[in-house]
Amino acid sequence: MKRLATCMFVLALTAGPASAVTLGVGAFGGMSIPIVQDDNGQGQTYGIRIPVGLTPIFTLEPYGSMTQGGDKEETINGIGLTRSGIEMQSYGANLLLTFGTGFQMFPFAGIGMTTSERAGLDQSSVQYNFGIGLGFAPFALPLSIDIRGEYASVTDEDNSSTARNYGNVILGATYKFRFSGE
Amino acid sequence: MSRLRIALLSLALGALTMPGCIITQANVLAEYDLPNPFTIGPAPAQPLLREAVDLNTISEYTDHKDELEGLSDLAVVGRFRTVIGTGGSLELWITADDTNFTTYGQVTAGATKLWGPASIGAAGTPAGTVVIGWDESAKLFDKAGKDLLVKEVKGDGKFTAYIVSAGATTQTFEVQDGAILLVISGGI
Repeated sequence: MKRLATCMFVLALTAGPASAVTLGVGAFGGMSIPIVQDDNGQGQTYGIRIPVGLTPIFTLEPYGSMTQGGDKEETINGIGLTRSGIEMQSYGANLLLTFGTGFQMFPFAGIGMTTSERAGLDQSSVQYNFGIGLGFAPFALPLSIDIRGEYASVTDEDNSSTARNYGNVILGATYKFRFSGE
Repeated sequence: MSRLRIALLSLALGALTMPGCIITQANVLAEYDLPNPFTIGPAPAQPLLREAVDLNTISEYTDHKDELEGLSDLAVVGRFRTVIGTGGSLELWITADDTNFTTYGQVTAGATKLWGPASIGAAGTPAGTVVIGWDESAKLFDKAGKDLLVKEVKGDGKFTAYIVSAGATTQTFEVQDGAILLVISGGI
């Protein structure tokens, strides 16, 4: 966690002087698909982002999100059982590397903290994110839209070498304010 | 500039995959069936259920044993019924070694509580026959017992389980279709 956070911080600092810093506010929502989790079902995720465009290349994007996993049904010895989906509240930051103008592609990676709750579970732990996004940001408008494929790993509070993994498919829209620099 | 972007992307992805390959972790359900049915209480029933658990008999466990890192969820499920008495509660205790306790006092003195109490109502009443489900059961785990179980799961997969009546010794309970559910975390 410290390694990645340091890496992101250094990247942000060494990105070069900004000619035009942008600040935005965005909303997103989509599907959260547990990857090989027999006790947690597909659910929804949504949240807000505050992208800070440090340079044309780098965007640091703090986010807050809520994810509700779906219930999982199992039949054990003839008894139908339901395990409630995991509810997660997350906050953190992603670093985006943007390729292109107008139509954009942006790989990203980030880190955050996640609180996971359901019956018998209440923990806070580190979450790692990475993925790739495709966006459309017309020059004339401050509004942009994007779609992202994200892989999120939520570690266990007591054992950081175990994790629950999720594939998220997310649609988002962002409104950006531009501030001229030197 | 393009090289810089690719280098930074590679660096970030490399950093992400370093902490123990967490991105390849799976959470797989393994089911250990308890004897069906079993009864505990005064004679002619047995005073407690002793079960020598060997997780190596479960394919989901043996398939992931080499990459196993821990447990992400636990439950004891089944149909619980008070046969005789005004009701009470059941508990599950475990020992790491192969033990052979025969009384409630020996179990509580020498084992570690894993689960319970699960309350069951009086015989002949609706509350006297209950299905204990996954959500309800998952709330009844004890931290010390879970830690010991994780150690055994990551070890040889063998431990001794005791299901005991925590109340008056005059109660008789029957458990049908009982099972211990383990969601094991490990590499794919």
